[in-house]
Amino acid sequence: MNAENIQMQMRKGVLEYCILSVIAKNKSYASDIINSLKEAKLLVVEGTLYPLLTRLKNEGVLKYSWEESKTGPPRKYYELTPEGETILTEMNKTWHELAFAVQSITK
Amino acid sequence: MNKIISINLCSIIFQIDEIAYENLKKYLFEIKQNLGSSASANEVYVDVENRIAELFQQKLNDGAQAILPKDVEELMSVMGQPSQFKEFTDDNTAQNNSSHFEHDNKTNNQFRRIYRNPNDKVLGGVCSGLAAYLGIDPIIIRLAFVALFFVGGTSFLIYLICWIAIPKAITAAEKMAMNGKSITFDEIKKNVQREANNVKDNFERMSYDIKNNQNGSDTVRHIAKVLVKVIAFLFLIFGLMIFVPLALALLAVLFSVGFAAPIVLGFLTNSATDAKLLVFAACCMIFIPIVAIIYKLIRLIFKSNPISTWVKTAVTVLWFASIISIVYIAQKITSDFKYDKTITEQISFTPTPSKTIYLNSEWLHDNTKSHRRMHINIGIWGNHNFGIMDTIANGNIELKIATSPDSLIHLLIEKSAQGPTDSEAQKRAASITYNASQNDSILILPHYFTKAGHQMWRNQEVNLILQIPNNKQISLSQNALDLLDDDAFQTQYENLTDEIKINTKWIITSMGLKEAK
Repeated sequence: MNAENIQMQMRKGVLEYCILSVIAKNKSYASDIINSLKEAKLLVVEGTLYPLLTRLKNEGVLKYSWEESKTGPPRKYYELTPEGETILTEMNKTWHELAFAVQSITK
Repeated sequence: MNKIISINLCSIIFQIDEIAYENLKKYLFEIKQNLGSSASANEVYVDVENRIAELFQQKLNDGAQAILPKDVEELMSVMGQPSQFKEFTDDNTAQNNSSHFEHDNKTNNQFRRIYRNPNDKVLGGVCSGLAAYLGIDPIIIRLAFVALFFVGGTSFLIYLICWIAIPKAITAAEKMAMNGKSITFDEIKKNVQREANNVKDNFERMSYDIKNNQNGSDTVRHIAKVLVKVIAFLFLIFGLMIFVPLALALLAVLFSVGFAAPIVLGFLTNSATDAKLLVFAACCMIFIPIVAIIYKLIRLIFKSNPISTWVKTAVTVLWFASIISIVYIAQKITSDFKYDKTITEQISFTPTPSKTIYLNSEWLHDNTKSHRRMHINIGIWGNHNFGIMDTIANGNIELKIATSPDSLIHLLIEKSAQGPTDSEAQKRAASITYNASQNDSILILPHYFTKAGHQMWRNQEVNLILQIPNNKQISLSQNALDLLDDDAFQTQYENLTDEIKINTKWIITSMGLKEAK
């Protein structure tokens, strides 16, 4: 029970960080984000992504714009707000610190 | 062969296979349930619908004619299980992320939901699930269930319903939710409001459908669905209000099943098969809605997922079948009352020289009024129940008094009964025995009659017409007065008290009884 729980929390934090990083590179649509995550072997389904994006948007980290699509309804393209960029910079820093810490401890 | 249904998803029309449609509908419904009722939930839901529309559109662009079940399955694998939609929706998760690492799952911030606990179970994990939900030790709940079992087996039923209604915690997320933040009254209120909103939404969609008159059969389907929802909602509200009395009724039914069969067997029908069917159908008819209400309440309060439509359909069918059986047996019983037959028997008595004839009557056993009432009320039912005096009816007799054509006292006994045929009704009427007797100047007209033991009670009645010679006057006892027709007296005497009526001597006129001067 406990291991599952911690794994979930770890994944949750990392997932948000990765999503912000993907969006920082390019304005992205939900399935673009999924594809990037899949390429990186970070397993996630789209269902998890939509609530997360909406929450980050509501928190002012992300904003979106509508773009017409040839293959269906208009799409929401997400990008970082200035606040989001600040947060991502901080996250980058924290991640490198953490990664270094974990590596040196588990070595 | 399957039907193709047209659906409108984000203003795009899709042709979709019937089964695929049902699966998709269920999938979307479960997603909606998992997203909850927060403001952002709706936004997420629209995003999800948009994405589904896009994926379907790609299928069509690739040359598919319609959306098939396998396409919906593929969609589900891309989008994930409905339960995965709620994993990150909670608004509190972001702020409290850090604390998760320090606390165990007892304090996680997801709102608690009820699940059966597969890791700690005796039977189905209902008790430990309930305990986790209430935040107490499972042993308390288990003891309560065992104790309640001895109160008419109540808890057994509750346990079964919970087993059906409460889902098992399978995924890690569900196990976490099982121990999540406790549900406040506000949460329950929100659930109820959401139900109300669902009904409202459906109404709006229905009026939209009618306005745009898209597809005749779809509109009819929709109206039917909305009606069912509305009825279900009203039923639920109603159910909440009468929940406690219903629970008591449930107990009563549990107890009465054993007693009911013999009453039904002797009184309503002579066929043992019909009696069993009737009792069974009646139980189903009462039980099923009660169970349904309890089930719905559990789901509403604990936000659990719906059971399979298969079970629902089976139960609904059973309920309708029980109603049909009851109607069928009722029709059969009614036909037993089709013909009404009256037989008149006449007995004559020679009056004694005295001027006054004393009229008396008697009840079966004693003369005290309380016993009398008991006989009237339970005489027929109660006696059948216990097999005593099952051929005797106290009450149901009316006396009229008239003038005799000669110098004798005549008693006309009109016996009537009902039956499925004229001759059967006649047989039943003929089996009635009424014993009037004369004792000097006292005439005793009993307040009861008997029927042959093998005959059913089919509205057997006895009406008496007593013909008294012109030169006689009569005196009434209290019992005789009770037997007497209400308008036996001339109008001016009708409102006298019983006491005065008993102490007065009466003569017979064509207008009714009149005080003898």
